[in-house]
Amino acid sequence: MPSSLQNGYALAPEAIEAVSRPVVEAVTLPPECYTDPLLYERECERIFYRDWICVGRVEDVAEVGDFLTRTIGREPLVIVRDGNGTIRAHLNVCRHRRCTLVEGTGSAKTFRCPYHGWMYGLDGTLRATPAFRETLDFDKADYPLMGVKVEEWAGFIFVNLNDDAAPFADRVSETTRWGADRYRMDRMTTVRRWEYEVPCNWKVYVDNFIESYHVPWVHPETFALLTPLKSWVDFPGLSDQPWAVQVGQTPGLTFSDSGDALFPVTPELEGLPVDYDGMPVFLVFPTLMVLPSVDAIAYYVAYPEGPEQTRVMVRVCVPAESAAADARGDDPAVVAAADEYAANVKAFLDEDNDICRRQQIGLRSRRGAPGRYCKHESLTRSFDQWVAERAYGPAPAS
Amino acid sequence: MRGLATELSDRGHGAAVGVVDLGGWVAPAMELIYEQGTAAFRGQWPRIEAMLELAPLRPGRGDWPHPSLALPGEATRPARHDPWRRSAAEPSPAAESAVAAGVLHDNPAGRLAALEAAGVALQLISPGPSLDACRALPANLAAGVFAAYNRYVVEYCREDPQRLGAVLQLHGSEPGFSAQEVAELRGEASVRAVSLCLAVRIAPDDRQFDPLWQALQDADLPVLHRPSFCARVWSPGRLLSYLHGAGVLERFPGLRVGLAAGESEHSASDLAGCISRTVGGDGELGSRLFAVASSAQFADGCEDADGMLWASDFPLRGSLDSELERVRGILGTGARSALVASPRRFLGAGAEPPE
Repeated sequence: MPSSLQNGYALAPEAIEAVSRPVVEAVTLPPECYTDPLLYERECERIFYRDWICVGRVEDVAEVGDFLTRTIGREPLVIVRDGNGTIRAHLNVCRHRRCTLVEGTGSAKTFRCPYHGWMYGLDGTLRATPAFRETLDFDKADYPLMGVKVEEWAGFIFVNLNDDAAPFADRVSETTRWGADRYRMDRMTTVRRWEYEVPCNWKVYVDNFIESYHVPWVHPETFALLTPLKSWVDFPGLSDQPWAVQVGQTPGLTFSDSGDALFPVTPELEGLPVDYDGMPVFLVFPTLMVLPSVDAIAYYVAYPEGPEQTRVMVRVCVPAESAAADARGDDPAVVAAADEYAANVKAFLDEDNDICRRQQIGLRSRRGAPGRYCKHESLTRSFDQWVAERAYGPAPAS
Repeated sequence: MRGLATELSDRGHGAAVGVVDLGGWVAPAMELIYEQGTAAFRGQWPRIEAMLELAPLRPGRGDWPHPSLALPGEATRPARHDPWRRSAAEPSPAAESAVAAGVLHDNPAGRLAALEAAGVALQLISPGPSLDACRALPANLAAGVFAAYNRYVVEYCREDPQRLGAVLQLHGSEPGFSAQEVAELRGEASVRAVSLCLAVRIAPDDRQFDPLWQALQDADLPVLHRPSFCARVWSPGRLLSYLHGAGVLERFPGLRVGLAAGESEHSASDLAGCISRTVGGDGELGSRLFAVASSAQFADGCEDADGMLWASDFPLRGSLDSELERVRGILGTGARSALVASPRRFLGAGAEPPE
């Protein structure tokens, strides 16, 4: 149970203060932050229902009617390209008796509730309500699908369940200082996609992603060979905005077996400051994890499904023209390269998934206590502080 | 008995007493058709939806503000006066702004306001190309769509059934279904006429149609023949020759037929000539056959407007007001015949009351 629920705190103020110190003085979050259902609810309420969450890429809904579904916390969503070509997000819940409308991904002309046949346009307007003529004081216009804010950035689609949220673009406006725009992520297109169910708290996954301390031990045959621990550089304080970056300084790193780029190298990367050249690890708080390389990007998003369960969506993207060739299947070299990139991403994610599973087992121990951070975990610490202040402290001023 | 719409007071538009417009259009989103379908129809919906497309918007012509589903119509059908295609004679922006949003779908109040403003007492309402395109569907599916449409249009007209007239859509390949539709819906105050989707294989002189003709006669409902709703072979002249030559009109002396020129290549005078040639000197038969034309088609020359009916094509041409003024200008003294007297006969409302 949380150690304090007084004065609006879900976690003892001392614990929040302890994680807020400089990295070499700070104390990690208490283990219950990774297991406790009440703290998890606070995270949903304060983070996942209030912040921008990545749900996919624009190419996932390339054509009118293409849709995908995602569940953010307990909120089922459908993201669709409507008849005007606009990407929209709706609560995937019928306004009649609350049944979900669609599942998975696909293409639709309308959304028709499987329960009683209510029909909605792709824009969310309620179009048909069979046998409702006798219902008094009923106007279809009063029952559209609940709209959810949606924005695009660098080809990613973000949604926000908070109607009053500030624009997403505002919170990543400083990513150009690190050079994110040079990777031209907007010109990349997904070629391989898969998902994992990982038995761990979502923060376990993100904490692991944004630190390099584990690389020599968890990835001895993969990352560690290419980017030794000493080469990883954190960039704390690069921005006050909720994103972070660290870079494994191995110039021109890619996801290929050889390390050579198998797809056209993004031309904007020519002349990049040497500090930023290599394999960046880029986190857009809370859960978008991006690995942009010189000729491709891998990204994954952690969707919490409970205090100790996380669904991880993984995608590998390459330049659009190569992705088109891969889709056509008429260039075996391109298809093989895409397979090779995906296999290598899977290889190190398998290692991460397993270590996260094992960490979660340890976090459940009744004899748990906070630990300490290494200097290579500065970004993990700042992320943990961000979570603690947002989720466990008193409610933010409205 | 359905009474003809009550006569309206003169609202400064000239003699606008009891004007009947045979040419109102709706283009209901297929979502609205789905809504009115039977459970069996909704079970077939995935088959139908697979054929639907998002229809382009018709801004200023009573469309919804957002895309809706429609069955794509034939793109190459030749037509001189197809009101569903934008032509050089586009309505002015002012005329378009006179049309309330949604009158093509689910805004009967907006249509009534236009009728009121123009001084039109009654407007008959027919469906647009999406329903016509149902001819291409298997007959049972098409009949399901028509049945759903009929309930939709009755619901639409329920806003004021004295002024909004429903034209039921029936299927020529399913005469039994069609007769049943008439029997089921004849009691609805708004139902004023029927249109029949005639297929190639079953001619309207086939005895299978007799129950339908009987049902129409019993219900005192006329047929509004829209060529675009039928297989191409069923031109107005051919239809008349079958109905007359095979004795259908003789066996069913209460049957009345209006031949719409709206979407076809025929002008009002073409149709009048066609009727004249068919009936010869038979005045009784001639009194049961009518030509339905838009304002533009009247301009082709109709000195004698007896037996002529006016179709405004509202809301496709914009302001109903200006269309009515236009036809009055063309017909002059014959306007009262085309706008009031002939429609009364067509609708079975009896002789025009004395002024």
